[in-house]
Amino acid sequence: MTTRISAVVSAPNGWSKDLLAGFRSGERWALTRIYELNVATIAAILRHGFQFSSRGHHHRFVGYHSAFDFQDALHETFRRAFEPRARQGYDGIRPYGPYLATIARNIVLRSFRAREVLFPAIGDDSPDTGGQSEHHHNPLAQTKASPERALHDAQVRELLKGFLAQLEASDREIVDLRFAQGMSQRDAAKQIGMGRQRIRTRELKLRKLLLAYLHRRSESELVAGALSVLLGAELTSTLLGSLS
Amino acid sequence: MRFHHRMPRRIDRYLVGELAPRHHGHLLDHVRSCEACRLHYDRASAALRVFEGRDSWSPAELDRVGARLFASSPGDENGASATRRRWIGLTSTAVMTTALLLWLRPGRDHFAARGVDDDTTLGIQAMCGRPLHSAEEGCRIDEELTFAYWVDEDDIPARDLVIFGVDEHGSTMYYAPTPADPATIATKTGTWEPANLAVQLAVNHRPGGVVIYALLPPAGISVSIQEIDRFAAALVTQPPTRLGDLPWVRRLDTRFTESVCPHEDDCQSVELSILLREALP
Repeated sequence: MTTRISAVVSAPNGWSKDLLAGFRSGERWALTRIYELNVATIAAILRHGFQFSSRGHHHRFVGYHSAFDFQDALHETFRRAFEPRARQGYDGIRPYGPYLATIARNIVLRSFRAREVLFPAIGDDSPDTGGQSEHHHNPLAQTKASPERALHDAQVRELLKGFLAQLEASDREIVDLRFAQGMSQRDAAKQIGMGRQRIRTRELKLRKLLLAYLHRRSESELVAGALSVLLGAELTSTLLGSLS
Repeated sequence: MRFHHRMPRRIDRYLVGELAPRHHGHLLDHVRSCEACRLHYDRASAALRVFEGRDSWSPAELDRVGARLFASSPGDENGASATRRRWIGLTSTAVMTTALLLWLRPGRDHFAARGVDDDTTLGIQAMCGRPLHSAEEGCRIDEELTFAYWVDEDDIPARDLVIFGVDEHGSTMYYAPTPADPATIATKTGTWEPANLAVQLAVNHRPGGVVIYALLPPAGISVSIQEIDRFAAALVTQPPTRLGDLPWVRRLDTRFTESVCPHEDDCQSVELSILLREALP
């Protein structure tokens, strides 16, 4: 019996040597790979927030409610990290994730003074860090429910029911398999018996229909922050109801 | 910044990945400084998160950020290729439009699928001969030239469509309005419509190339012959149009256009080239 042992050539941070070289020289495939490897971690920091202290007070960044702000900060984090000077200065020894997280936090804290609503104080009993901002990443920190939530509950339920009700059964099945059950496009395609490309096309059509529906129904009365949370729960329950 | 009526549609197209990368920068800059646009953006994003069964962010959001991040990477040909495909699609639209007067009216989906420029809600086609055929196949100088137009159904109806041409000698050809007839074309939206004018080419055209320019100014703005002359004089100095160029109003210096189009988004403009051939002996 022959056993083949392949030597894995890795940089100290766990990247392959090729990935590190490609990253440092700015090759698109390498940057894309690094983005894919790290984007969820950075997204969690920006979306769910973190704690830090400043001038003796402890604060919590509650995370970006605005999707636009969230995406903007995410983009800015990677844009800075992928600048030629930053890339070439990276040695492949230090872990890359914490470096990215530091950039993300700095981007958030830059707007600290301007937008204090996002940075509530959380009490004065934590130790002071001598005026230096010390960041404690806490991706599980949750924001309180919006006070508008109850007010808009019925309206949101009505909206989503309306959208789902007008879909053809085959489209509802796609929504159920892909987004309520969390199947991959490949698995959903297999289950339904259609090609993966067709599933992708139908999903795109459904997204456009949803946006058009919401705009037609004057969703302006809704509160964006509450919408996501409420519709998330409603989607599952309504789907279960409509498919049963 | 003001809330432009086309912004919601552009934002939606961006969020579902259908807005061409070359428009991303402009769109995001606008949204950043327009509170109403940002609200729309956030609501649409929230709805898509829900649709994808996510509370925090949707995979599509991360894809959008990735696309934005790599849009300007060196060696990235994706944007250029996409542009090329759209323009090839636009060319094929010319052939299809002949169907207008054969009563095979293309629907809005057809129009979108053939991929007109993302910001463009105006389409124009030139036809000539009997039976009518696309002018892109060439027209004889003894034939009549006519036009069909499309204005997107989301656009404001009854705007005055202006059409003129500039031949290869630099002469301006007035179609609507003309020095003798100030009437423009009151547009309908959502379908291909005949422009209801016929140009006897033999009267003042010569064999050779003609570029046809169409302009849809804001509602209530009329375009004078002097303004058409000004546009034509500026356009004739421009280098030949290349694939992916901006609509002609946006290519001109604002001093030529500001009286009619105070903001570049106010006007729609498209152009096409036709070839005029000698008359049959």
